[in-house]
Order: sequence, then C-alpha cells, then structure tokens
Amino acid sequence: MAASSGGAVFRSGIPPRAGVGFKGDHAGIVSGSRPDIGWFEVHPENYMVAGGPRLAVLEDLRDSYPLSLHGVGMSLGGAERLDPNHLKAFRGLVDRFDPGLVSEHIAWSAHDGLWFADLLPPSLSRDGLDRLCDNIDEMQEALARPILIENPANYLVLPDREMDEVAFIVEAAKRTGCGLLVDVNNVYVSAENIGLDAEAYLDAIPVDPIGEIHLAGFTVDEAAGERLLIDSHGAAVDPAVWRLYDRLIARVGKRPTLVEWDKDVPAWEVLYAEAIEAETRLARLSEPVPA
Amino acid sequence: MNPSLADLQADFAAGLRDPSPDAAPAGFSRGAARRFRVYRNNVRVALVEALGAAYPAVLRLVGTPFFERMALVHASDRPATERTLNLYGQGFADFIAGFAPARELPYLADVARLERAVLEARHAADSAALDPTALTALGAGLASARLIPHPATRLVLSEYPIAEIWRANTADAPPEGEPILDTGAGGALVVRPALAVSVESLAPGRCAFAGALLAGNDLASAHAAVASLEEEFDVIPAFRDLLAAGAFAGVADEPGEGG
Repeated sequence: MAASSGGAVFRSGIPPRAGVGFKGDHAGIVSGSRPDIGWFEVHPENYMVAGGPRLAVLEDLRDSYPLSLHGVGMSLGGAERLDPNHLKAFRGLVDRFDPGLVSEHIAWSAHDGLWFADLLPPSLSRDGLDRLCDNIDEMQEALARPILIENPANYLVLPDREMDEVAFIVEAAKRTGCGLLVDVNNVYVSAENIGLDAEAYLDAIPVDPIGEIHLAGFTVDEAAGERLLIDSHGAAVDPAVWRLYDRLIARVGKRPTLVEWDKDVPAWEVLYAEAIEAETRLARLSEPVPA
Repeated sequence: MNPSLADLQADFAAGLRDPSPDAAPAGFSRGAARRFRVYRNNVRVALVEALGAAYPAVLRLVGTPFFERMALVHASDRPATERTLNLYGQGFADFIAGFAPARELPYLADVARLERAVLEARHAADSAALDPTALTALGAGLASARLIPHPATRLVLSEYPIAEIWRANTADAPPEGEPILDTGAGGALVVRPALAVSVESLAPGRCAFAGALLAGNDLASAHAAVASLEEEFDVIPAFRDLLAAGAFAGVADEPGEGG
C-alpha cells in the first residue's frame, strides 16, 4: 500500500521533542531540579486512586511539563464492549489533568470480568477491525477528543489473521479519525519474533496520522530453546532500534518521542541520557545538509 | 473456518488461567502454542509483582522464593477484576491466615492486614484532618459528639505487637533478628492526614477506644466501653493523641444547632 494514503493530519498537544515515561523513583529529582525535557508520559491506571501522594505528584508534574496519558487497560482490541467504569475513571483523569496527548494500545487485556494486566495480541481480522473501530469510537466520544493507537509487540501470529498489521492499524485510523503512536521497538521486536520486515513496516505508515513515537529496550529470552525478543521496557534502546527511528523521522519529520523504561528502572541520569539521544537525533533533522 | 473473535479470546483467556504447562488455545500452531507461555507468564508476574509491592514486609519476612510461591497460589485463585492493580490483593491477609506453609509465622497474616491498611490509606480520598480547636466550641456537647473518621484512617488489631513487627521489616529497618513478641497484643493506627502515611502502635485500651470512636460511637460511650475493661484508662491523652494524629475529619452531628 502507498505510504501517503489515509489518515487525517494529527495535531499533537505535545511539542515534537523527547520525553520519558515518568517513574515514581524519579519524582524527587524531577520536582527538585526541573530537568530540561520536553514532556512526560504516565499510565493513567496508576493514578486511578481516590487521593493521596500519587495524584499530588502528578499535579506537580503537570504544572511544569506537558503531559501525555498512555492507557494500558482499555482493551480496545477486545471482543467485549469497553468497561464503563474504566472509561469514567479515564475521563476523570483527562478532565483533571488536561493532557496534551491520550493514547491506548490496540491490544486486548480483559475478558469476562477479569483484567490480565498484559497486552494480549489483537486479531488482525475483519471482525477484529470492526470491533476495534467501534471501541476507538466509543473511547473518543467518551473523552471528547481524538486518541492515538499503538502497534503491539508480537510474540506469535494468531490463527485468525486476515491482513497485515500496518494495513489494519492504518485502516482503523482512517475509519475513526484517531492518530497513530508508532512504537519502533515493538516493530523491531515483532519483526524478529514473527518474521516481518521492520523497515518495510515503518515505510508503509502514512505520515499524517503519526502523533507520537515510542522507543524502549527489549530483553532476549532463550529459555524456550529459541531466541525471542521480549518487549520488557527494561533496558537501553538497542542500536538497531535507533537506526529504525532515524529512518522513520527522516521520512515523517519531528514527532514527540518517548523513551519508556519501566522495569529495572535506572537512575534518572541514565534515562535522561536516552531522552537527550532522541532529542539530538530530532535536532539533526533541521540541520542543513553539509555542502 | 476461523474461530469468532469472541471465541478466540475466550479460549485465550482460559489458557492464561490454565495451570498445566502445555496449555494453549485451540487452533494454535506448535510454535504459537510455545510462545503463548510468554503471555501467561506476563499475567502471573504482573500479579505477583503487584502483591510484592503492596506487601513488602510480608515479602521480607518470608523471603522472595517463598513469597512468590505463596503469591502465585493466591493470584491463581483471585485474578484481577479491576483495570488497575493499585488496590489488588484485598483478600491476601485472609489467604495467608489459611495458607498452611506460612503457619510458622503466626503473625504474618496480621502484618499483611497492616500493610493492606497502609496501602488503602495511601490511596484514600484527601481530606483535611479535624482541627482540635473546633471541638472547644462544642463545650459540654463534646461528650455526645460523634466524630467522622478521616477517609485514610485504619485500625488493625492483633494479638501481636504488629506495628513493631511491621516497622522492623520495612525497607529502612536494619536487618536484625526476629522481633520480640512478648510485648503482648497491640493494635496499629494507620493515618494519612496529609500525603504521608504514618503507623502508630496502640496499647489494647487505646485500641478499643479508637475502635469505638471510629465505629461512630460518641465520646462518652467510647470512654465508658473502655473504662469497663480497663480501670486505669486515661481518656484525655488517648483522645488528644488520636486528634493530633489526624484520625478524624470532622464532627458528625453537632449538638446545639446554629449553623
């Protein structure tokens, strides 16, 4: 498919700079020294509490930096309708913190009253696409704003696959008016695990709907007797992922770029250095080509 | 013929909860079935880690391998039903009380009860604590006043000096031996008048008094209930300390009307 077709221009409320996923371990240094960084992102589920220190910390963060809410619990790719209680709690946080961006995964995570706290693989089928679009519509209506949807890290191919993941996601954005959050690490991990061409995947994403980019580290699992990349968010961004990122931004231009590090969270300086690396690569885009 | 979306996900969800090592949804290739374990493992790890984060003193008391085995049994019986794990693990203390391998530490379930109270206090609704000077306006009506508990306040009763055991097993505590258990029964008062949770140990008389007040009894009947158990009970410092801790948010039904 042509990379230029499909999807409206997504207008981001976050500057096209580097940001990081906010971790409680870094709250002291961030509020104390106010580091120069473009923005922060949080999982809204962690702030779905009645009161207390977490919300106070988020208020403080929101006062000094642009904020993005990145959901992990909506189960947009689920066969079931969205959970009205969760939608209401999400809306409460959007109203209170007025984030510059709201995003969710196309994965599913809930079934029959249970929540699995993991991003389970969406069905790349016509039924799956219809269901996903209905769920995106419902979420965007409930929040009264457009969202971004993120591509998953894949470990396997579901038996009901009927289309390519890029075509699936781009079609969902076209139908619902949502934007795209391109997770470059997930593309790389998926490519290695299920045999995709990561460059071709990224090249096929239309420019206009891309509202955000994610970068993260993976870990290698060889326990099952085969090499599997796990989207662990527990390591530095891999050089191969940086190369894919350069290729993507060279084509689509500057986009808000997030470095995620959620497991074995390092010292602030280490995470900040990853953000600086992303920011340096973004800045290079606007430099004149040497004669 | 592909399974329907609903059937595929129902099958996938059942596989996530299936304890047998080779469990995989129907129709999966051998490779996909093998990799299905990544998801099942993620789900288990998420719940066990959430319990570890919520019950750090229990974890420290029993050690990581024991804790993980115990948490996994509980997580299998009680999967998450909310879309967040902030308050996951509500029944963990009761589960521990009935978990035979943990019987060597008879106070373990009470430590878990206290940690649950700390977790609930941390995430409870914000409210200003009752200003003690507001009570002077009640005059003689104070005796019949009923106080509204602060939303974060919790009282944990135990046959063991539970606050001391808990404190000796918090992250800041030095790695010493077993806590002394012969100081007798005690309760723990958990409060969060502002943003920081604090835990104080309470002697049995003060526990009964605080319990009576938090249950909505007026000051005179709370005092009477404790005085019948403990002749020497000194109500004034007990009450003053509860107020100073920020255990209450207001006065329920002010006698004397006017505003």
